[in-house]
Amino acid sequence: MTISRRALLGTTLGAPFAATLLPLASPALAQVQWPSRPVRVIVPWPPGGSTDVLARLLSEQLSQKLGQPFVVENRPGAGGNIGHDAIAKSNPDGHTMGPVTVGGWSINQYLYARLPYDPEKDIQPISMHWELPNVLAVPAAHIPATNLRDFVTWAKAKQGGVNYGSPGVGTTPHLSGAMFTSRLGINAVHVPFRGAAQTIPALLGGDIDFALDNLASYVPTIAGGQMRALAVTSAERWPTLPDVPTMAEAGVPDFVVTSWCAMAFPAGVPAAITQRAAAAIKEVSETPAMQERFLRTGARALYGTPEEAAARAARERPMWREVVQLSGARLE
Amino acid sequence: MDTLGMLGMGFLVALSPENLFYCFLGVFLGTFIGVLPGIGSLATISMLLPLTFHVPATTAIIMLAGIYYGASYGGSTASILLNLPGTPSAAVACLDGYPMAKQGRAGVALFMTTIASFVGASLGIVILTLFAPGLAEVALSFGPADYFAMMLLGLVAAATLTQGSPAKGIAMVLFGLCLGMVGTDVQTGQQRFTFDIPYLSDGVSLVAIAMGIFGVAEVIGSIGRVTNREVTSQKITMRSMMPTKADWKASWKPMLRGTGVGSFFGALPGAGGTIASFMSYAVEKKVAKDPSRFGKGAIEGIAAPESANNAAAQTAFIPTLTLGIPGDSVMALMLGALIIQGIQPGPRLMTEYPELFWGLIASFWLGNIMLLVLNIPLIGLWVAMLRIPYSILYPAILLFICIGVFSINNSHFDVLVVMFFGVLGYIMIKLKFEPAPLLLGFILGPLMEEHLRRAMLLSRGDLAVFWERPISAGFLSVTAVLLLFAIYATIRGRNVAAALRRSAANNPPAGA
Repeated sequence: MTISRRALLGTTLGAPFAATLLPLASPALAQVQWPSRPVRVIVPWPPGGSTDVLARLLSEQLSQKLGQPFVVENRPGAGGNIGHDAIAKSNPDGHTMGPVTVGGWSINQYLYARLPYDPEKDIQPISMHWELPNVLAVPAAHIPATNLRDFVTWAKAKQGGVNYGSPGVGTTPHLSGAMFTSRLGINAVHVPFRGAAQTIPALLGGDIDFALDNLASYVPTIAGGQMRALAVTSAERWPTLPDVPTMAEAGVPDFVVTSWCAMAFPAGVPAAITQRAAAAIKEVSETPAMQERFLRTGARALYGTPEEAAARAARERPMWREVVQLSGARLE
Repeated sequence: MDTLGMLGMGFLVALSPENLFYCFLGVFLGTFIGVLPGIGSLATISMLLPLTFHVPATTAIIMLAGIYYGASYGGSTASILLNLPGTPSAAVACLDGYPMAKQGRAGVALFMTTIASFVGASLGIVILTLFAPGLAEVALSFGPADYFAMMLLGLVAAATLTQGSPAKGIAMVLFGLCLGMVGTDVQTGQQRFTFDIPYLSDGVSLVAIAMGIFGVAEVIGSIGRVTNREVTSQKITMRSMMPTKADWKASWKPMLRGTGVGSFFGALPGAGGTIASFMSYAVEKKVAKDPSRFGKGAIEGIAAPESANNAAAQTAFIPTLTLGIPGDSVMALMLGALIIQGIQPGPRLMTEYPELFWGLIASFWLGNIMLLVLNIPLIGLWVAMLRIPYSILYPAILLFICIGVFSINNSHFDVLVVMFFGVLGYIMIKLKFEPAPLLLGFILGPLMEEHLRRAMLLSRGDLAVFWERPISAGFLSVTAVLLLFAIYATIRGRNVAAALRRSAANNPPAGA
C-alpha cells in the first residue's frame, strides 16, 4: 500500500495538515482540526460479528491516536442495507464513518431490486480496512476427503448430491458456494442459515457437507481439528493457515473471492479530512501488533488511499454481477 | 491436573482483588440493567466493551460474563412488582409473580426468585464444569428435524400457558406465529409482510413485543385505577419477605426441574433462556396436582422458570467455550471481547489459557454468591419502589422502556413498535386475551418454520426423516401422547360435567 508523503507528514506532526495540502482553500478548511468531537462509527451488523469486532479494534486505536472517542454504533438489519444507508445519509462533516463491506458496495445493487442508497455515488471511501478469504471447510468426522481433489470426486459420487451451508441468501459464502459447485459440476443444494454460529454446528453434526464460509468464524474449529480446511479463496496462502492450499494450488484456477471492507464517510466530506483519516488508519493498522490482532480474528488488516478502495469496489462489480446472476438470488 | 485442582487454580485467579472487583461490578451492573425494563445485557456489554480493552483478558471476560448472568437475576423483579418483564425471559415471571405481589407477597416472590436463581445458576455451573464437552456433543447431534420436533412439543406444551379460554389461548399462539412470519424468509430471501419498511425486514423485535404487550399495556391499563394503592401500603419487614415452610416445600422440586430444563436449553445453540423459562413453566403446570392455581400466584410458577433461566445463562457458555460457537448475540460479543484481547476462543481455550477458562468458571461461583448477597437486602428496596406514586413511577418506566428498546438496534422504529404493541396489549387485556401464549408463538414459530424447511431441504422432501431420527421420533411421540391425553381429558371432563348436569336435573335441589 502506498501513501502520500504529505499525509504521512500530516499525522506525524499532528498539525492541521490541510494547511499544507490546500494552502489556498477557505480558512475553515485550512484550520481542519479533525476530529474535533467524538466520531460515530456506524456498523451495519450486529455486535459480535467480524465486521463489528474489527471496527471496534480500529476504533479503539483511532481513539487513542486522535484523542477523540470513536464510538461504535450498531445499526443492523436488511442485509446491512440499513446501516450502509445510515452511513451514506449521515452528515458529511467527518464525524460519522463506518465499515462498508463488499456486499454494501459491490454486490447488493445486483441482489436487491432497489437500494435506499447509491453505492457508487453516496459513499466516500477513506481507506481499505480489512479482507478475509472464504475457506472450504468440511467436518472431519463425516467427510473422508483430506484434499480438494478427493472431496470433489467424493461429492460428485454422492447419491442425491451434497449440501452446503451459508449465512444467508446473497452472502459471499452463498455466492462463492454457487460459483464453486457450478464450475466443478457438483450437484449441490444450498442450505441457508442465520450465520456461522448455526452453520458450524450443522456441519459438525453431519447435517451439511461443506461450507465456503468466511474464514474468521472457522478458525477455532479448524485449529481444534473438528473441521478440515481444504482450500482458501485468497490469491495467496493465508498466514494463519499456512498448510492450506489456495484454490488455484488445489486445482481450481481463477477462484479468488475475498470478503473485504473499507472505512467510509458519506459522500461530501472535505478531501482534507478524508486524507487525514486515511493516514491515521494507515498509521494504526500497519503496526505489527495490529496486523497480528487482525490475523487472530481471521482477517488481514489493510490500509491505503481512498482512490485504491474505490478502485477495488469498481473492479469487482462485474464479477459479482455475474455470480449473482449465476446463483439465481434476487432479493426485494 | 484434575478438574478440582484446575478449579482451585481458577479460584486463585478469580479471588485476586482486581478480578473480584470487576466481577462485582459486572454482577451489580447486570442486576441493575436486568431490573430496568428493556435495557438488556447486549446493549450494556457493547457500550462497556471499550472499558475492557485496558484490563487483562481474564478480568474483562469475568466482568462481561457477570453482566450477562447478573441480568437474568434482575429480570424478574419488575415482572413481579409491576407486571413488566425486565428481560424477555422474565415474561413468564409475570404470570404468577404479579398475582403474588397483588396478594401482598411481593417480598416472598422476590426472595424465592433470588433463591431459585441461585439454585439454577449454581447447578448450571456444576453441569458446565463437569459435563461441558459431553453436553456439547449432545447439542451437536441435534439436527434440523430434531429441533423441529422439539419446538413442536414446545408449542403443544404452550397450550398449558393459557389460563382462561382455551380458544383464546390458541388464537393468541396463532397470532404469535403470524407475527413471527414478518421479515425476510431465510430460505429464499423473500420479504414477507414487511410493507416495504426496511426496519421490518429482520422481523419484529422480540423485546419490543414483550415490553409492549406486558409493560406498556400495563401502564395504560393502570390509568383507570391509579387510586388503587393496596400493593404499596404493605409494610416491608424481613419477616414479610421470608417464604413460609409451605413455600419452601412447594418450591424445591420445581427449582430442580427448572434447572434441568434450563441447563438443557442453555447448552443448545440458538435455544436460550426465554424458551427455557417458558418450557419449565409448562412442565410445572403439567406435573402439578392442581394446575388451576397457576396464574393466581402459584410459587412453583416463579421458582421453576427462574431456575431454568439462570441455569440456561450458565450452560450457554458450553458451546461458546468448548467450540467457539456463540449461542446468542451476547455470547458473540463476549467472544469478540476475547478476540480483541488477542485470545482465540474455541476447543483449545481450556488447554491454552487454563487460567482464563478456570478463572472464569470460578468467577461464576463467586459472582452468584455476590448476587445472592446483593439481591436479598435489595428486595426491601425494590418493594419500597412501589411506594413511589404511580404518576411518577409509570412515566419513568415508559421512558426506560423507550430507551431500552431503542438501545438494542439503535432504531427509532422499534420504539414505535413498542407503542403499537402497548395499545394492542391493552386491547387484549380488555378482551381477556393473554399475552404469554402470543409471545411463545412468536418465539417458536420462526424457529419451527426454519428448521422444518431446512429438514425438508436436506431430506429432499422426504417426511420420513422425522421418525427415522431417534431424537426427533422421541419428541414426536411425547407430543402425540400429550395431545391424546389432552383430548381424553377434555372428553372425560365433558362427560363428567354432562353427568353432573343430568343428575342435577333429575334431583332438583330441595325448596326449588
